[in-house]
Amino acid sequence: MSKVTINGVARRAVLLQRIGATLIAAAAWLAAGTASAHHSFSAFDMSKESVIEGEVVEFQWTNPHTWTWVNVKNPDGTVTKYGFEGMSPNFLGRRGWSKNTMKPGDHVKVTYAPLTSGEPGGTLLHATMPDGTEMIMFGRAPTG
Amino acid sequence: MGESMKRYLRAVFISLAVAATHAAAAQSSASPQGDTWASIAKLPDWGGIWEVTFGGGPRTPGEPPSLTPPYTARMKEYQEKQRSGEIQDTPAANCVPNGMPGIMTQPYPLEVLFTPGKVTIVIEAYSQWRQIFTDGRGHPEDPDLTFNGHSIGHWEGDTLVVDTVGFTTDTGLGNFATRHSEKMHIVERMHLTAPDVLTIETTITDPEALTKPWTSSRVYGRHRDWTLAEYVCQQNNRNFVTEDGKAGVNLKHEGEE
Repeated sequence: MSKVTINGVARRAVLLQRIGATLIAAAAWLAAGTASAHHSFSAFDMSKESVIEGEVVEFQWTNPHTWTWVNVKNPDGTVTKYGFEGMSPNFLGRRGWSKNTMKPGDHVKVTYAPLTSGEPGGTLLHATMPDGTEMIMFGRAPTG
Repeated sequence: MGESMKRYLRAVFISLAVAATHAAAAQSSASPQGDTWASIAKLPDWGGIWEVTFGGGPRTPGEPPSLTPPYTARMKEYQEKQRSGEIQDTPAANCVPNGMPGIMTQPYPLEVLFTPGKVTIVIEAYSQWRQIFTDGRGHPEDPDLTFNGHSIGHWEGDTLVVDTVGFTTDTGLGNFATRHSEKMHIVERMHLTAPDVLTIETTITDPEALTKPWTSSRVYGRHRDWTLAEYVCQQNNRNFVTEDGKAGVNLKHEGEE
C-alpha cells in the first residue's frame, strides 16, 4: 500500500485502518439505528457486500452525501453506470478524504452494500484507489 | 455530657449548618454567569469543537423513555408500519432537521460560543443553532413552538444548566417512532468531566407523553484543531421519503433522463 499525500498531510494513518475493524465500527454504528444524520438504510441491503471495478465518471463532494459514479464494463461489452452514496464531506474530510480522492478516469474497486431495488449502486463501504490505497467510509476520526 | 453542653453543641452545629448553607448560596450566586466579557473569561474553556459519535461515547440512550398509554400505542403503530415496510424513512431523508433532543446527537460535531448573556450552540448537522439566554430572562409565557425550543440557562459553578421549552410536535423523541407533546420540557446539565470531555446529562419530562422523567447522558470528545464545515443538506440530496413514508434513492446522474 503506497503512501499518498494530500495538502501535505499523509492520509496513510487513517487509510491503514484494517477493513475488519472498519466494518465492525460500521456495524456497531448501524446497530445504533441512527448512523446517518439524514436517512435510514432501508434502501440498502446492509447484510450484503458487493464488489465492482470500473472507471470513475464523477466523484461528487457534496452534502448530504458524496456520490461516486463509476462506469462498469459488463461481460457483453456494454457499460453500466453505478452510483454509490457515501458519507458527507464534513465527515469524510476529517477522515483522510478530500474532493480529490477520486478523479474521473481513475480505475477503482468499490465494495458496497447494494440497493434493495436492484438498481446499479448502493452505499459505499470502502474503495481501492489506483495506487492501492484503501479508502474507508466509516472510521474513527483522528483525535486532536 | 450535661444539658448545657448539649445545647451548646447543638447551637454550634446549627450555626455551622446555617453558615454552610449561606456559603453555598453565596458560592452559587457568585458563579460567573457570563453576563460580561470579564465574566466570560472566568467560565470554563469549552473551545474547540465537540463530537459525540466516535468522539466520546455512544449516541444511544441507556433506557428507553417510559411512555404513557396513548404514546405507547402510537409508537407501536408506527413500528408496525416500519416492520411491514409501509413507513420506510423519516422526514430527515428530505433534509428536515431532527429538532431537540435528536439534533444534539447527530454524527457531526458542534461548537459552543459564549457571548455576554448568551450561549450559542452551533450544530453542523443541517446547519442548526440553539441560543441559550443566560441574562436572567425567563421563558416567554406562550412560546412559539419550534424544532429546537426556547432555552434559558445559568451557571452553577462549572456546570451550565439549560432549560428548554416550546417544541413543535413534528419531531421525534430519540427516534421518530417515539413522540412527545408540546409540553415537553428538557433540562440539560453540561460540564467538563475530563479536560477534553464534555458531558451533557439530559432530563426530559412531558406530562402527556412520559410517565416519568427520561434521563440520559452523552459524552462529547473535543477536537481542538477542527473547524465546523458547511452542511447544506439540499445540495445533492438523492434520498427522499414520500408523504406516506415510502423511501427511495434518485439514481439519475447529471444529464440523464
